[in-house]
Amino acid sequence: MLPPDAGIGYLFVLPLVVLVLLLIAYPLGSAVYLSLTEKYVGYPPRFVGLKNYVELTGDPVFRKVIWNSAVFTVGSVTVKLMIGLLMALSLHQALFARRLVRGLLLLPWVVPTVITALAWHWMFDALRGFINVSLETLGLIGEPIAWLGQPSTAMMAVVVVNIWRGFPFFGVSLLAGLQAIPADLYEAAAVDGASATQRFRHVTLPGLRPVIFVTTLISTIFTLNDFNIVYVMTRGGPGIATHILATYTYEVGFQALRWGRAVAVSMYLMPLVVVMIVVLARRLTRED
Amino acid sequence: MGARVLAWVSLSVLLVAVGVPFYWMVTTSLKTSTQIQSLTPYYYPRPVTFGNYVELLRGTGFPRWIRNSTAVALGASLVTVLVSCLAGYSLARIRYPGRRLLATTVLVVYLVPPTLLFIPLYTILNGLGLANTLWALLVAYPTFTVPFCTWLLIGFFRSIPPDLEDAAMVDGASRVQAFHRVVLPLAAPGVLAAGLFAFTLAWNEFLYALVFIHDGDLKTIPVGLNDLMFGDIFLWGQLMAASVLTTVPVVVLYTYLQRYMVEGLTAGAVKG
Amino acid sequence: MTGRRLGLGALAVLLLLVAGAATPAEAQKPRLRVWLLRTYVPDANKALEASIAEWGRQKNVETSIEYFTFDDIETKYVAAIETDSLPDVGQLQTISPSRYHGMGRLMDVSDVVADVERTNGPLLDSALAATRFGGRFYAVPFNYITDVLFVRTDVFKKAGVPYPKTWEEVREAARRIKAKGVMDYPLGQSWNRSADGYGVFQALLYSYGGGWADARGHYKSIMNDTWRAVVRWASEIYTKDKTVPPDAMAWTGFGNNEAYLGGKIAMTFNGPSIYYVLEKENRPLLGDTLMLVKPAGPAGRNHDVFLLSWGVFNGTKHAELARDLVRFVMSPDEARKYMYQSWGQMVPAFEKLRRDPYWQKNPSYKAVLEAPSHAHTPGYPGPLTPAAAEVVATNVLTDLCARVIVEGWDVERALQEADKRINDIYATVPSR
Repeated sequence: MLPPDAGIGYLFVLPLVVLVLLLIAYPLGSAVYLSLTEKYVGYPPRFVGLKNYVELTGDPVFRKVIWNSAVFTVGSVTVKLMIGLLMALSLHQALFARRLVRGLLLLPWVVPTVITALAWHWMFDALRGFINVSLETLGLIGEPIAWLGQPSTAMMAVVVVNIWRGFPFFGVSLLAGLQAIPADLYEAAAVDGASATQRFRHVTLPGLRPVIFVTTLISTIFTLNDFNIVYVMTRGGPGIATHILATYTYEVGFQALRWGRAVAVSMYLMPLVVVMIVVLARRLTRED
Repeated sequence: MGARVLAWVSLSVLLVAVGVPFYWMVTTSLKTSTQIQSLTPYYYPRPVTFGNYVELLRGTGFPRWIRNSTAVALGASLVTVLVSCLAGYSLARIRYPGRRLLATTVLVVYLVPPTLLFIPLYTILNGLGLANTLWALLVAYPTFTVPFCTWLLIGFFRSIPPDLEDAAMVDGASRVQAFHRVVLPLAAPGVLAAGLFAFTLAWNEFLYALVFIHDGDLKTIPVGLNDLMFGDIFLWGQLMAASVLTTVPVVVLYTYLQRYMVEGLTAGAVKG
Repeated sequence: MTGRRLGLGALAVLLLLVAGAATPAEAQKPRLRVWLLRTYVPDANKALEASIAEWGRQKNVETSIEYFTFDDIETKYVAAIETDSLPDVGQLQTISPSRYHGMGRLMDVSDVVADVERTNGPLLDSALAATRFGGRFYAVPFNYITDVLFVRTDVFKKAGVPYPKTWEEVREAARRIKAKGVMDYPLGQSWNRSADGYGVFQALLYSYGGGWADARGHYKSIMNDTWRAVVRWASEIYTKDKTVPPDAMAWTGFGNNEAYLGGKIAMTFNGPSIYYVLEKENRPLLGDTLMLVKPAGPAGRNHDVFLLSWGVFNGTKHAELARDLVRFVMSPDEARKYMYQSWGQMVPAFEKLRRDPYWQKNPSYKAVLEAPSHAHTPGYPGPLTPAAAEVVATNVLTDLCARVIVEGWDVERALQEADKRINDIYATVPSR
């Protein structure tokens, strides 16, 4: 016997199921199959088992790409979380003009990424970019710094842009989390004579933990998949110093025309994604 | 008081960090190309020129791109809100076999990298005869907006006390009526937040729009901007003018609606 | 319920917008889909559009033009190939005819080429190499966008340095300009992931007599002294001479244009687009700018090539119309209309058009005209093959330089990596 309203429940969820099956599950299935074939654009796929995956593990370029992706993602997400926390705490404090400031700080997240990347590309220009020009005017540097011309600073630059774009998402989510912490918890802590630091450690942080967790996971996925910032700012250069999975997939797929291998490149995200899914799913489907 | 000062200091730093690129964007859009390319920096345009804007609006497809982007983003967010509302409510409230599995699936698909999907997706859209139409994007964008928004709304619906709709149903309302009359009005902030998210994601999308659309008349803004980069010549002034004009509508939207987004997030992300 | 009214209103607006944006086409006439490159010269694009429209009027055919850019050309075609949504006729870049012919997507257009040669004269060798395979043409050469050496005449004069005629002289000139304190970073050459990188590297390589394929188009080891000399030239301008702007390795395609237009550098290899900007906007720098044919090496002047050509795609329902359109836009009158609107940017491949007085305007125009007669397709001295195309398209050549310059590898190790990548490509690229 089905529970009451089960029929309506199924009816309501039907559009979602159709969408998922037709537009996501089926393409995903084709993608998995493609990654097991030698699929060159314009030629039929030929099943080769795990050949693409095996070849990729031995490819120094691909290994560098994996490393770059890790640096890019971990670096960006960590700093985004920290700045987002700072933004949330500050906004929670400052009552005057809070909505205005919050709205302004949200801007980077709203602007199309292509535009963000273009604007920053130009800010980082060695000889005419805003950053070097200002630093020189202030007398802080004598020689222009080739931000995008050296591997370490180029990686830093694309990470900075990703942070700039993504921190408001953390800030707004964490602010929402802060506002959801009941005020009486703070009052109780104050009555017990807890200092500001203690209140932060024992009330604020535990209260924020679920939001931090979810937001970090979501941001990790967004960051891992980010294509535009690197593509527009460096194309993966200098050399392959900032090439990440998304840009490399694109290059293998559309320049080398090797789709089987290109899909295998993205598939390398899957183990990580699966872990996240399991963790996240466990939390989110937990009954109240 | 010390905390408040600290808060304002850090907010000021953040505001400057956010503001500088926008300042550069706006001032560049008001410079002539000679000023832009000059080796001695122009911190502000002198004299100010509106030529970039005029050229952008008269000499390029920009007005059309805006129109296309608006249509696609509005349409995609409407579809998203419709599908996600129904599914979110069903998954949050109604008990039936398989719903846990479905809720998990929503997450799984949310985490699938779009680079994996777009090649097979294109084949499907082409099979449906939608390639090179705006409908293609209207169909494709929900693949990444719906999972996110459904997830957001599951959390939101859960945060609404069930007593209200139970009471309505005791009074003889059906499940559908209870959803429609009692829950939906209460869920308005969450629904708006979901719509806003969907709109933003669709407004910014680049890769699908690049591949699925060939026709110059059907381009969306992010892809249209490519037209302003002629291989190795960049029309910086026009690009930045386009950036300013593209940013303004979204900023206006957010100024009015950000409250809902925060409320939506509060319930969705925090409690979910 | 204002929410619902709002929703309905939004829906109505949306339907209007979508309906307006997707106006149905006229049904009766045959409809020909044409893909064109949006070049940086709007005047030339307009001229070509006008030609195509004129042809459509004469033949009572509806033509629909869709544009791609330098950046998304390959993406567009690849997506279209995989979904069978290729246009009827489209412009192709240098490496594409070889690749798409290998996939069986291009029609034999030898008859069209023969017709055009009858009216416009014979083709240059580099155009033959890019479009003719196994003795048959699979694309009709349209125009070159040639790569040349830009020099700042005033800077050279001030430093008392002659214009370089060889690659060694390029290095030397940059060193002397720097040494005299006229300019810190005179040489704007990036080994980046764009045509400015792999194009110039090929010119350097072929001029030194190097290559990665033999005359039959098979892989050939690159572990030899010619390659070592070439990579040394490419890297030492950064590591030893320090005559290149510090961030040049990070430039995307437009970096050197911007640097030159901004007056930061005195020399760069580029398509003539820089000159177009100077001439069109009548900038003061125009008077101090000269375009030269790229330099020679020990093996002579052997350069890279960028050729646009017309492909007619298998699967078109209007093959004869498509061929006829190509014939029409390539007819002497129409081709000249286009050429005259190109600001000296689009160099013809057919002999009679090349003799047009238009190209005698000044030494710079003459250099642009001359350049393709020294040009060779990727994989020289062998034929253009899909494998050679992939070597260029996947940035193997410039990654090689970057390993040495940016990551400090020694030349030998970098060469070994590149050699392996090239070998892998040749071993696995599919062939018909």
